[in-house]
Order: sequence, then C-alpha cells, then structure tokens
Amino acid sequence: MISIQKGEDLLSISLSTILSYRKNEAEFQKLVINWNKKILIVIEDFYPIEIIFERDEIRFKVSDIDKKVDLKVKMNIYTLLDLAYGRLGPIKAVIKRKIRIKGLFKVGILLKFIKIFLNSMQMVAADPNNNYYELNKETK
Amino acid sequence: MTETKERNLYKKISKEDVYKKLKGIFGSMNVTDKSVDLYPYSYDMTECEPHMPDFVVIPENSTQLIELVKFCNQNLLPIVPYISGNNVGGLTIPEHGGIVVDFGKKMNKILHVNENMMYALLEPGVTFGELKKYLDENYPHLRYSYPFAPPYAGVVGNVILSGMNNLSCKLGSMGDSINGLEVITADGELARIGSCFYGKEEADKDSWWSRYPMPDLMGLFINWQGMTGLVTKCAVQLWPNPPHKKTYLGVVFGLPDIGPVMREVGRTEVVDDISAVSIEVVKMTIELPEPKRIPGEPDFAALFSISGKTESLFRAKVEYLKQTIENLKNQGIKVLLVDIDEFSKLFSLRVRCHLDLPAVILSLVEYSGLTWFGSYAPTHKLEKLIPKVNDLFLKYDVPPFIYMKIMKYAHYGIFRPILRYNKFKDEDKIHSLLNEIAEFCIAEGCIPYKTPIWMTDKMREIINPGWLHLFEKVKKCIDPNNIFNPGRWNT
Repeated sequence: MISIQKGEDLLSISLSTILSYRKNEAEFQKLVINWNKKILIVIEDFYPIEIIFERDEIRFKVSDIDKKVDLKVKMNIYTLLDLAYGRLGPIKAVIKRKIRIKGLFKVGILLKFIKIFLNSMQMVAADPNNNYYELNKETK
Repeated sequence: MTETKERNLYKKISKEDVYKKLKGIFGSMNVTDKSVDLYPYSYDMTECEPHMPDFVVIPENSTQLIELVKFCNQNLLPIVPYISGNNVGGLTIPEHGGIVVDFGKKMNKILHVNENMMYALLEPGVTFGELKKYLDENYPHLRYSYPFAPPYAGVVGNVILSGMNNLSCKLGSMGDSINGLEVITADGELARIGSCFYGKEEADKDSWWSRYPMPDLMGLFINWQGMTGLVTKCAVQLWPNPPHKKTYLGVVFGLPDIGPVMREVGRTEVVDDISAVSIEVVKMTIELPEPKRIPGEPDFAALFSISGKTESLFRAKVEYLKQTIENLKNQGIKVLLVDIDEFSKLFSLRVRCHLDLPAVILSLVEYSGLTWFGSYAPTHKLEKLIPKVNDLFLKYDVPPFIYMKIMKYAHYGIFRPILRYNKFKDEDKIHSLLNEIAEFCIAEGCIPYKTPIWMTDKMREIINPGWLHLFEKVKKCIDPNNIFNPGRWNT
C-alpha cells in the first residue's frame, strides 16, 4: 500500500490527484515503493514543488528552484495539459524546449518518472468520468 | 436557541381564535402552533437574531391566502413569506412573530411553459432543482439560469430579490427577467402585473410574456423582501439552450488584477457568466476547510462560460476570449486561461460543483453558520475593495472568501465577501469582521441585497432623505397596517 500525502497547495493537490489514481495498481506500486528519489517540478508562473518518493510514501513540499534533487522538470501549464491530453509527446516537448529537464543524462530516473507521472496523468485525463459526485462516495 | 419574546400581537383577537380561524382557512393539518414545528422557521444560517413565529401555515391556493391576508390586515397580524429555508440576512425570520406562510410544501407547481415566448409560470415554492429537471425532461431546447445554490432553493425568491445566476454576465439581475407577477395586497385584492393584466378573471396562461409597456408596478414587489404583498405566481423568462457550451478557467495572480480581467472579459459581450472566487475557496471545495494561501499561488480563480448555437459562432467567441486574455497579459497582468474540463480532471473533479448548477457547494454548507456582505458593486472600485477586504479577513484570521460577478456585460458587478463560522462559538468575531467589511464597502458605494436589518440601519445613515421618505410613503400606502414582513428595512 502506498501512502500519498493530501496536498494543501494547488500544485500538490493536483499531483496528489494524479498520483493517487493508480495507487492500488500493482505495477504502479512496484515503480514507486523504495524508489527514494526527489523530483522538482516547476510550473512556470507558479512555484517549485518537490515530489518526494520515500519507501512507500509520496510527499510534496513547496520548494525552491535551486534545491538539490535527482531530477528537475520545468514547463508551463499549457504544456502540462498538452502532454496529459496527448496533443504533445514528451520527446517532441523536449526537442521543442517546451519542457526543460535538468538531469537529462540520468536516463533511468527520467524514464521511470515518465512511467510514474506522465502515464498516470494521461490515464486521469482519459478517464471518461466527469462527475464529481461519483468520486469518493464514502466521504462528504 | 430561539427565545420567545413577549409580544403584544393579540390585542384585537385572542391567539386561540387566530388558531381556530387559520384551521378554518387551511385545514388543521396545514396549521401549527407547536414549538417543535415553529422552531426551524425561527432562524437562518446567519448571525441575525432568531424570533419564533406564532403559527406556520401551508397554503395550497390563492383563495386561502386572500382570506388570510384580509384576516391579518383586520387584526394587525404579521405575515412572513417562506419558501425553502435556504435564507440569509434574516429575510424570513419573523421579527415581530405572527404567521409564517410556507409556500414550499404545496404551492410548488410549474404551471405552464410557453415555448414560443420562452417563459415559465411558477408558483412561489418551485425550486431550481425542480425547474431544471422539468426543462431537461420536457423542453431540452430551453434553459433557465442557476445560482451557486442548492437544488432545493426557490426560484421565485431568487428573482424577486434580484439574485444573480449563471447567465448574469449576459442578463444582469434576475429581477430583470420577470415577465409577470400575481400578488395579494394588504386589502386582500389579487392583482396581476405585466402583460397578464388583461382579463377580469383568470389570466390566459399564454399572456405572461412581457413586463412592459404599462406603468411598471412590478417595482413595488421586487427587492421589497415581502414587505408589500404576497407573490403567488411569477413568470420567469427562459432562453434557448445552445448545443455548444464550455467554461474556461482564468487563474489570476495579483489581488487587484482580477478587477480588470473581469471587466474586460465582461465587455467582450461573448461570455454568458463570469464568477470569480478567492483561491482559498477552490481549496475549500476539495475539503480543506481552513486553507492558507501559499506564496506563488494565484489569488483568484474566475470562471468564464461561453455558449454558441453553431460550432463556428462558439469558436469565434472562444477566440475573442483568448485574444482578450492575451491583451491583458500584454498590459502586464498575469493571467492564465485553461479549459476547465481539462483542468478539473487533473486537479480535482470536485471543483465541478461550481459548473453543474444548481448544486450543494461544500464550501457554503460545511459550517453551521454562513453570512455575507452580498452587494451590487461599482466595478471601477474592485481594485480598492478586494485588497482591503482580503486584509480584513486576514486580520481576523479567517480564510478570505470573496465571490464576485460581472453583470450585464460589465455595467455593474457583484462583490460578496462570505463568512463561514461555527454558530454559538465564533459569532462575535464573525459579526465584528462582517461589520468592518460592511462599513468599508457601503462607504465605497456598494449596495447590499438580501439585507439584514442591522445593515439597512447603516445604509439609512447615508441614503438621501428623499429616497427614504418616498420608500416609507410607498410602504405606508401599500401596507398601511405593516402586516407584511414587518421590521425588514427597519419598517
């Protein structure tokens, strides 16, 4: 079982929604558990946010751009939406410099992060449910 | 708890005889004087002081109400109209006791829909949920407009108190969309106002199509908070339901900058509705009841709804919206525009409760108390109003909750700071905050609607004497014995 922190800032809330989508999936758990990496995401105009993968936990922390992490990914919100909804592929985004990655040479980390984050985001985007009242029926 | 105050209502007739008469009019099953039944009618969500009614009656038709009004006028008994209890500002709290008329239980029929002239004739108890369901099932090509209110809130109460709904950027106040009213005045006479005024007896059901051009008597009942008569029928305009619809989310960084964004988008004349909320409200929607704004987060989220009867018309409108946002960016305003359908999936589908109206919106119902300074506002003052009111929230350690709208393509706006609180616990603090907000905003020219009595008291200090005298003369003329919702507006 993976524990994913509930976000309290806008970006953490969104990351929590995306990463929680597959939290019960065995393949996702295998990718995440004991990965022990820190990824910094910078959405332009907003603020840097750190995703901390530690043992069986995923946490978020409002951070700063110079923080030493395993991978830094920078893009704007429109690129994020284009990636999620399949209008732009990750390779093309990098080539067109719509995504900037610091740690690009750490191919293993980058590919794993793509599998964890980008794939989850695309699955959330592709979910046909658009009704909030069908979410978490057990909560208020 | 509501305390029953000593009153001197029953000088002309005993309370027992009143009870007997009411049972005669409405039937014993539709009248109560039991405290357990009266209590829910004694308070609302706000800080307004509760007062117990003496009776609650459940009418079925106008004939019963005519008899009630005549009886009350003769015996000087207050009458307070009530629909669904989803009130603010103490509007249906019986300030002077008397008889609460609960329209919500039996006078809640959709009497007629005229497809050609696009209106619905309603009894006062019809709710937004009922109207939406009825139109969706029977007239899907027509639509009404809905507020940020639950499906069980009343339509007629909303229009006659100049509510604002999700077509308000286009239409303005809902009070403007009334075609006709049927009202009972203090002498027990039934009057029909609007194009339905022809006909000695019943009006033709297809005659409720216009408010004009006769002398506009509707103003005697709109925004009077039930002080001038009982509304028993109301015809509201409907609009074509276009097939192409989408809502865009504008995320604005910088507190005052939401002002020009809303105004400029409003002036494009392509947007059906514009509503903006403090960013904290977005978090409240997803179960963070006491959110904090984090440095770097935007300050406001605004929803822009667009519709079009054809794909190309719709696209042209979207294009113009995007161009307007680009122009604002070029002026140095930091604003991002995204498709809310796309954004909400990745953020939280819960924010969609603001789109699928009418809806129970968590941020408005999760505390036992809710109050506001709900006002019509001069839009050129938004840049001044927003930072000051935001600071007042922070001063009292209350998460800012500012809700705004642009009305009638930016002719005027809505500025509504909303305060959620625990009743019997935070009341003093919240009232003190609301008082400061009210004093500041009224001084800046904001005009509160659904106004509590203590707020009209403040307004009276600066309203011109001529208006007040005219207002009092009209009230006295139309309700000489002050039986209709006495106490409202300090009457």
